Amino acid sequence: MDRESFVERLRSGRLVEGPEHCPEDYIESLKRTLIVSADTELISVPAYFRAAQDAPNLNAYISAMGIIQDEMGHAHIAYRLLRDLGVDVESLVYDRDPRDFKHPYAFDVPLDSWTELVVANAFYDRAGFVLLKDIFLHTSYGPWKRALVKVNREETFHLRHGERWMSILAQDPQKREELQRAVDWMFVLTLEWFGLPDSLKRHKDQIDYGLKGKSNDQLRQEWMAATVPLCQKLGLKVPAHYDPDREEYVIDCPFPAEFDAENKRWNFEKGPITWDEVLQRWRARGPANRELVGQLQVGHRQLREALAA
Amino acid sequence: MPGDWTENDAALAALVNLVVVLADNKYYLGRRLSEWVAGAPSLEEGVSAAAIVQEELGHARVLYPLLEELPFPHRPQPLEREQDRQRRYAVSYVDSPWPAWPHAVAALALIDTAITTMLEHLSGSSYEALARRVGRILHEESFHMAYAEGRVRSLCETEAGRRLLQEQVDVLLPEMLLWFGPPGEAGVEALRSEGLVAGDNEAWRQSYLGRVAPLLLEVGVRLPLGLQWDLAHRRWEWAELPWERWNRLQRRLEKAAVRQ
Amino acid sequence: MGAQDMPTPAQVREALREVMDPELPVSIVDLGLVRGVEVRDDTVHVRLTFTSLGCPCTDVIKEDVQERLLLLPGVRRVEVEEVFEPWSVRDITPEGLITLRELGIT
Repeated sequence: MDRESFVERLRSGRLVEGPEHCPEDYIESLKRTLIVSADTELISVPAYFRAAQDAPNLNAYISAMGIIQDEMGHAHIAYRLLRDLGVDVESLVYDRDPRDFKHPYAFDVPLDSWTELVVANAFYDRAGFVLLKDIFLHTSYGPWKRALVKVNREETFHLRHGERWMSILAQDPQKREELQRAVDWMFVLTLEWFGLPDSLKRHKDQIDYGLKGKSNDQLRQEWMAATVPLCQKLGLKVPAHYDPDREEYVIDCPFPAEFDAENKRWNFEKGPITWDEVLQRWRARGPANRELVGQLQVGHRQLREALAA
Repeated sequence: MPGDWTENDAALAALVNLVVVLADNKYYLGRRLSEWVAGAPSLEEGVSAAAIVQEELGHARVLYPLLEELPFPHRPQPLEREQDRQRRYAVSYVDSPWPAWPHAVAALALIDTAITTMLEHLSGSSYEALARRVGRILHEESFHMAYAEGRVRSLCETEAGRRLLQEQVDVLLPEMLLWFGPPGEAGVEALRSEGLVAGDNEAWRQSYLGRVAPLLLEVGVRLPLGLQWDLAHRRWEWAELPWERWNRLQRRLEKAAVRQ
Repeated sequence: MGAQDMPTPAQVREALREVMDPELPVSIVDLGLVRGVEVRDDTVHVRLTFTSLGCPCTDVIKEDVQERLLLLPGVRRVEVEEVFEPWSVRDITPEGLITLRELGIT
């Protein structure tokens, strides 16, 4: 089938059920999208686990482990879809260089406290939710669409957990400061997550192939529409507001900006930087990249080394 | 409502100790296993391990409040965070993070099964609040047992994996045999006399071995301590256990001899 | 305050039908988690069990129960007691099962 009639078929709402009869670049594009999603779910496991060590009580720790189990399950679903497309998933997960994982840069910045963890549950999981909901609504790949029903339902609990804990912490004067500090660096990092603005990147292939519905800027707006009111309700400052005239959220800080990952702070005083500079930082990966990926690979690697010995 | 046994100080002391020992072992087992969720050898094993972690910690969560309701002056604090209490009532194997996955497999197969064996002897306890929780816990443990057995079998599919598990069994099994206590332990006798627990130290140990030893033998793991089935007496026999290093209050193996 | 102002246990159960499981679009009543409701003076006492002792949502469910029942006229206090009764798929009501089947769970 040529590309045009294939795209036409997708437009009529037909779902693809397997790699047969699909143009090669459809499969490649689907694989790329799935790998980003799978890697993102997977890296959140060690990232969230690290911060969960600071859980204030046993119930909180149990909830965090529940979330971690869900994330690992979601990763497993996405890798299984990749396996069905002929990808060698074992080597993808366990042999890949940490720098080649496709998760967003935000996860390469370590989460160090319960406060940062619950903000991640509210911000990062919201970003994941916005992106996955878009895929759920628009994807042309049937097996993924069906799998996302469960994923999205579980993610709503994560959001609830994050927002509930943010509200608990906001009521404690000391924790409140810590919360604001976490919001300060994590808000802009999540804005960045959605990628290049539409003026710099179109996603014609992804949209034609029904792998994506909305553009980066639209998804960024959707995330802000949930997150900005949440922070305002809790009395937390964020560098964005709703502009009723433009009928959209406006970012109030230099964006994109230079990020000091070691100190978790934005160098807004330098003014906006270019997206090329952002891409450069992303490619260089963040401080926790090696540690977190290492934790995912350690058990598999040890056993393999024992076998080889 | 607690019955008459609340007047029996010896039984009460032993019961408080038993509850904190069960809860602490569940707590630390859950914490240690949680450290291997991300690094499990496969995603499936990690997902299941995460489910077990929540249940182990959930079991600790429902056991700890019993400490607050027992009318006894010296009750250890329930654990919320790992460093909340210095004195630990858990086996030494769960003291610090495990360096490798086979430790987690050994712990699930040998520690969790020991706790379950103990709980089975508490399901008819005259302490009704405990018996009720135990019923629910045992219901969930059947899945843990199946998972542990599956991990043992999968690890022992290769010679190298079996060797790694062997090393851990050699370390851990002696501590778990000690864990059931010396024969005729005074506190246990008090618990028995009040109908708080069924069986005794030796019966628990035999029941435990009857459960773990056949699996180990089947997958080719050698039993340490010269453990063997005595056909004539229909019981497991072993050489000496290191009782001199047994901490009977915290029910754990210490590195050096313990003054009793 | 007179007891006649208080909701009946049946009304309490009806209100609890609005408390959803945080991970499933099924109420805690249809999931079979509510094991007893008593109304005494201005206090409602609810007995709950969970799908697992390791359920990550226990705090959230207890809070939701509190919040919903305090909206009932006359209710001043809500006591949620966790009982440790076993739970299995057989405890889900037919309505709950239909919803879950439609979603491809169970």
